[in-house]
Amino acid sequence: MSDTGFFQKLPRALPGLALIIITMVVIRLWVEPWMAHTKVFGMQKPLTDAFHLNYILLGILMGLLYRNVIFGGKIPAIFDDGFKLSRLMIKTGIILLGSLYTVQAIVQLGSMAIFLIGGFVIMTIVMVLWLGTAFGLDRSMIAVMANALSICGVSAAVATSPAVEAKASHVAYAIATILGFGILTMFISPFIGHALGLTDLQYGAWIGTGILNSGQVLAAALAFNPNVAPGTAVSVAEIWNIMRVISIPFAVFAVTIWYWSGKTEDSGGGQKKSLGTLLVEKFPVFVIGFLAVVMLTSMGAFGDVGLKGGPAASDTIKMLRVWMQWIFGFGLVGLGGYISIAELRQAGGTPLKLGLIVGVTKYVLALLVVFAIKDYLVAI
Amino acid sequence: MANTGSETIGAAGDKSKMTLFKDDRAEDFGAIVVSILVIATVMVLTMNKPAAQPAPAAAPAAPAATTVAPATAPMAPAEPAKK
Repeated sequence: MSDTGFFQKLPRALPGLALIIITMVVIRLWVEPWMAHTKVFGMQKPLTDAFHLNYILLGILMGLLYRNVIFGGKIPAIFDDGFKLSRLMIKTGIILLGSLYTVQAIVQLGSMAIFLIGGFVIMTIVMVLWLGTAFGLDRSMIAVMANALSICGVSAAVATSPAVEAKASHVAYAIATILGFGILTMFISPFIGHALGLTDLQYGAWIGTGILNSGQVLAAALAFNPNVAPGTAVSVAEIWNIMRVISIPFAVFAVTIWYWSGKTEDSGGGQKKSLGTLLVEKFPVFVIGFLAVVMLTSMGAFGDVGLKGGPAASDTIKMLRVWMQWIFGFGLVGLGGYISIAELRQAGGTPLKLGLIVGVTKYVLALLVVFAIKDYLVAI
Repeated sequence: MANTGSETIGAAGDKSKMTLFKDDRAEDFGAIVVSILVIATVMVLTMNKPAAQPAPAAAPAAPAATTVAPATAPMAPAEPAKK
């Protein structure tokens, strides 16, 4: 449960929260409608049609601008605590996304996602361990990079670090590398998806597998199609993403075994934890909340979901989807505020080279695999 | 660096955390609580509204919220991307 420190800090979060909310309100109520009707150089609405700009991308860009341009590289103390609520909003939105699925849909989509995600997680870990060793990187650094690149970026890197004696600099390099690569993929993926004519299902499966960080998967999915409904890109990508997040404890387990099996001398620096403790400590509990909402939806607690061919969505479901869009919008303004260009410059040298090789391989391979199995992907 | 699962890239300590919560686990529970509040609010707000009308293309015997497409070909999404 949330600690008392959270409630003591909450009033201090109000200015930052207000800035995030005002930013998203201005974007959705004024900027987006303006973009949808504007005419530039004779082109009708070029910002939405040619650049695929929507409230999600604009929100992230505004967060990025706040931190790196308007506030000179650092969120001011008065707004800082408000921006720290961004991940809470994203996790809340993901839990509410459970109202898009039924148990049957989760089983159908999830069983396919398990094979694809499982295969890619294993392939990425093996590739990083092999390449990292070939490049002569520190063993702790390789272990952190392996899970950072294979699962969900920041959480996986941090979850792995205590088990493999990683130093703060190892975690920093890994996070900077994956965030830098992830930001690039977050912005280019919607363009590639539209250019290739991918369906929401194909696009969701691709980015849910190929993009490294959970927040960036969400952003890239909503940037492709801002609608939140069964069958849209975000509904597919998040199932893939949740399957990947669930695999964190198992990947930490596997990489830890690799680390200690080849360890020949004590290097100090990190704290050891038993593997059982890691499995219990690192399970992402918000996934249980997501599954609980799926169960409630399947039992009809919120009325009809509005799947294609079925009854229209209930008022409760419709309103939940509107709220989800706003919650994700707020969360992603905050996410943009956490992208620091200065911190990304920490990445460099061999870890960056390793990250780019593996990241690009995974990103491209995921697209090829999705194309290869597109006839077997199940729509919900 | 005391890893709690929520640090930014820079220095260790409370200032570098990306969350107001103690750690990732506490934030997960916080998200569950906020979700419950959102769902409760939405349910109260829509409690007295009349039930939604069936969609024109709805199959008469389609079970509520359980219909899944055949595994042979991808269906068009319910709300396709705006081109």
